[in-house]
Amino acid sequence: MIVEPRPTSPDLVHDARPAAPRGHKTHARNAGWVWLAVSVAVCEVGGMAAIVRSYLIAQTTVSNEAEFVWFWLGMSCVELPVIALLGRRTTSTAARSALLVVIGIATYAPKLLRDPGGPVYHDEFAHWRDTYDIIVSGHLFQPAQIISIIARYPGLHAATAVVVDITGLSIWQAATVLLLFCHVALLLGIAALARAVGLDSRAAALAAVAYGFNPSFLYFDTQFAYESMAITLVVWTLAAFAQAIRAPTGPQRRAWCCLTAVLALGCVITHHLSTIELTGVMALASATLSVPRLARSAGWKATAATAWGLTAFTGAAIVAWIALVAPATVAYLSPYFGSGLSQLMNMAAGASSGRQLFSASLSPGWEHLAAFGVTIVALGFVAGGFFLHGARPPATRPPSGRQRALLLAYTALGLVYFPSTVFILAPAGAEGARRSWAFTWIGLAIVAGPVGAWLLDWTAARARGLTGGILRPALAALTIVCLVGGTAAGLDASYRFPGPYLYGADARSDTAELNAMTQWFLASLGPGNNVVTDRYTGLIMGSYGLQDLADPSSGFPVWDLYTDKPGQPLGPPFLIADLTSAGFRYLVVDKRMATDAPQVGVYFEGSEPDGFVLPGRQPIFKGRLAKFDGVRWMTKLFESDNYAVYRMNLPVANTTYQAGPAAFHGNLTVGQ
Amino acid sequence: MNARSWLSWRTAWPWRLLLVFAALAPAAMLPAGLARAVIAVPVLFFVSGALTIGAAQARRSVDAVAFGSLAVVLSTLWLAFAALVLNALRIQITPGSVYVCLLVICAVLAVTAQWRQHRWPAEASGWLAASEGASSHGFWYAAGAAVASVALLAGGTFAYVHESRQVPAAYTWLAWTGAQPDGVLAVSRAGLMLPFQIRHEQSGTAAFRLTADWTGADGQQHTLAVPETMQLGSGQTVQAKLTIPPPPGTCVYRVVVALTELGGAHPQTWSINADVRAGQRPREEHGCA
Repeated sequence: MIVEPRPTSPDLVHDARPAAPRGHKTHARNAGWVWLAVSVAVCEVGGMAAIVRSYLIAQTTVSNEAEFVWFWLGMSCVELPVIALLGRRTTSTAARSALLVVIGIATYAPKLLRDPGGPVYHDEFAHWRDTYDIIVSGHLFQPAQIISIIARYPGLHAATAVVVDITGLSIWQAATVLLLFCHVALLLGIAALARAVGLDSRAAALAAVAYGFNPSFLYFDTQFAYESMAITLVVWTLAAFAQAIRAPTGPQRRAWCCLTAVLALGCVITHHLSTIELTGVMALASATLSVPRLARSAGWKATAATAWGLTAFTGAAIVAWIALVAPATVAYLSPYFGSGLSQLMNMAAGASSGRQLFSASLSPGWEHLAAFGVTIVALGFVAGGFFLHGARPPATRPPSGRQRALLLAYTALGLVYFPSTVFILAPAGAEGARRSWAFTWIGLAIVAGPVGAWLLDWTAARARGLTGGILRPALAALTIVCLVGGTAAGLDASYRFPGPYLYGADARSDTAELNAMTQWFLASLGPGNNVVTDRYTGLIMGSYGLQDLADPSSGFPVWDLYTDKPGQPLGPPFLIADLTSAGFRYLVVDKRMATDAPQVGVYFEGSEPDGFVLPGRQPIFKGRLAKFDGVRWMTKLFESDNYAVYRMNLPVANTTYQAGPAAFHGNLTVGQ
Repeated sequence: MNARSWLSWRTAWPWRLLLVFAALAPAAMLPAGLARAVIAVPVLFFVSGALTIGAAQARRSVDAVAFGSLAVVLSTLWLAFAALVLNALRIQITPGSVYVCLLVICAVLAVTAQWRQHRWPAEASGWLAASEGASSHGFWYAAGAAVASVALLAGGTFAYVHESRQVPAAYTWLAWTGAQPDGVLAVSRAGLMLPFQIRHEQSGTAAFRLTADWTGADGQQHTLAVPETMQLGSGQTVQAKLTIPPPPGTCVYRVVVALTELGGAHPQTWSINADVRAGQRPREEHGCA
């Protein structure tokens, strides 16, 4: 981030060797760069073609090994040559930044190709709808469908809505542009942070590459969701924070403090958990800056005071936002922390068995192995970092001061990754653990950058002969393991690849039939109706369908309508009373609930009771959905192959039906 | 500072960026979409952020790529902050209000950046002079890489969309049309017409039987109308209607219209229903004759 000395030549390289006479050597070197550039371009185009091919294969099969092979072949072609160039000693800082831009844009391809035309992931539908509501109403904080808490964190929706307003792009196009900028800025932000912490441009670029292997990077943090914008803001806040700490007191420090505060406020209005984790990282850095043994140098007390001041500002801002604008955040987040920990305790006590990793995964076994492998590689890199530090003569180690304290803080952050992997075994903790990795990998990346640079030098020193012939492919293989394993540890194949309809997979539930039903509903009944339905039907009805969905919970157990046996009164009385008072008028049923177990494990939401899937993967709903046809207070308005729409005539009236035969005859007319 | 230095990029870049943002207004005359976006997106995602860095006086401690990247991040934030400001002022978020709000923000930032640059010209110009070469190289390399990579991304997307095989839609539906049944429908002396629609989105033509029945308290089905048989082709939509006279008595009858596929081992059936009774309007039920 700090400006490096001006290069001596405008060439792409700084060559450390003695200057050669100008003439044919310069010409040969230029020719070499042209050849290199053409080779990289060919790899990029070939890699992109392979990724496209993998997605085309995936479109027609539920899961096929060929799609994975083509995909990783393509990603390797796209990333490896660029990483190799980034790791060269002779590549200039300017060229490294440009190469990071290439990686940033090229690694947006998997998610862009996954859904070039519209939302596909669960959270994307929620954010699409909230943005739509802002554009239509002209006001923020509209009640949100699908995920209610997002309404109180309008950073992403507001920015997207403004882009839509000014450019006239569609919501999805505007979101794609915004997220592409965020994705590239994220990678450049890691490099900027690494340099602000004290790494050279080569190690910083490799740190950015290492960060790109984290499980969230390719898909989760590129989705149209508030985390995707927030993680970029977090990284740049930390970069500005590090810069504020390392800048001399006076105008420069004030400048970076000011930018840190602006960026932190951006985090606050964008995402709750990201800001809380940001505050935690800032507090960790402030703590290390307050330890005299680590940080003692000229003006260290003032620096520590600055760090604590900025941490306190960020912490106070998120607390104030939660207290004044988003009080529901506490109730939203607390189950994740509490349940995850208690499930882990139960597992430790042998009271429960926990999750079986990759149990419902569609991806091949070698991806699972790579996912475990990436943790081992990360551990190796951290160990390597400590080894390198220990192996350096004391005189060459970073002296006590701000740089050393910051490096220690980020190493400590990276170490948090390893215990967090244990939470992946707890059903409630898995989600939180996965989401924490985008943060802990910031620390891992900063540790991995210098180790990666050292490894490249070590390999280069043994480049000749048989050893060199083995080491370089081994290094390439290690990189591919990180690339594959990091992504495989994040999201299942149903999220990553297109494919045929898969019941209960958020990202493969959008069908022509569901869209037709939703459009019929919207055209016939208008927007804004209160609707009870399952999670997967709700994604489309709550977004494109512009309907308002029930938020199932133990206090509002709409699943009871579905689980009740035929012939019994529907729902507990309090549920019917709540449906009546809240104005719920429509029930939409996906008939496949009776035959299929959902891919993601739930029919409604995570808070639904266990036991909806019986042993043998038999749904509890089997034989219990046709009863709605006979419920007297429901009118069936629509039926397609898989969906039925009922109007609930609430409150339930005491209606008397005709008993016995009657002379009642009408007339059917078709085609008029 | 003389007039010439006021015109140079080095000393007057905040004013120039403000001018660029102000010049966005005529772009609104372009048709919404790609053409307008090509002009507006770089301005929206750069100007306010760059001015923020200038106003904070941090311009001199970042290289070109970090400056550009941080400017993008800050500009994105200003888009959100502008919407928040409008919301706090209870002004509706519209293209016009957002543009004016961002323009005011940019003006404030530009004045601050220009004032700070005027106040500490030596520091700013000294840094720029020292790093201008590195800065411009970094910028142009990154810009070239961005253009090439975006072209690659666009090419990949075009190829994927062009080669994608659409999954053929395969469903049939039956639904009431017009005013939807709401509670018990009253059938006047003139009778009642219940329109409905059949949409057949399957490949090939299929034969169907359309029936109308009524059920009462005992759940027994009674024929309401003579069934119809029809052939439906792929993508065909058929309008149909059920016409009924006032039902006997004052009790409620459940009318069921069903469509059954003919042929096949497991013929599928689709149905819709509605409750009707004789009378001018729905009324409270206290038994029926």
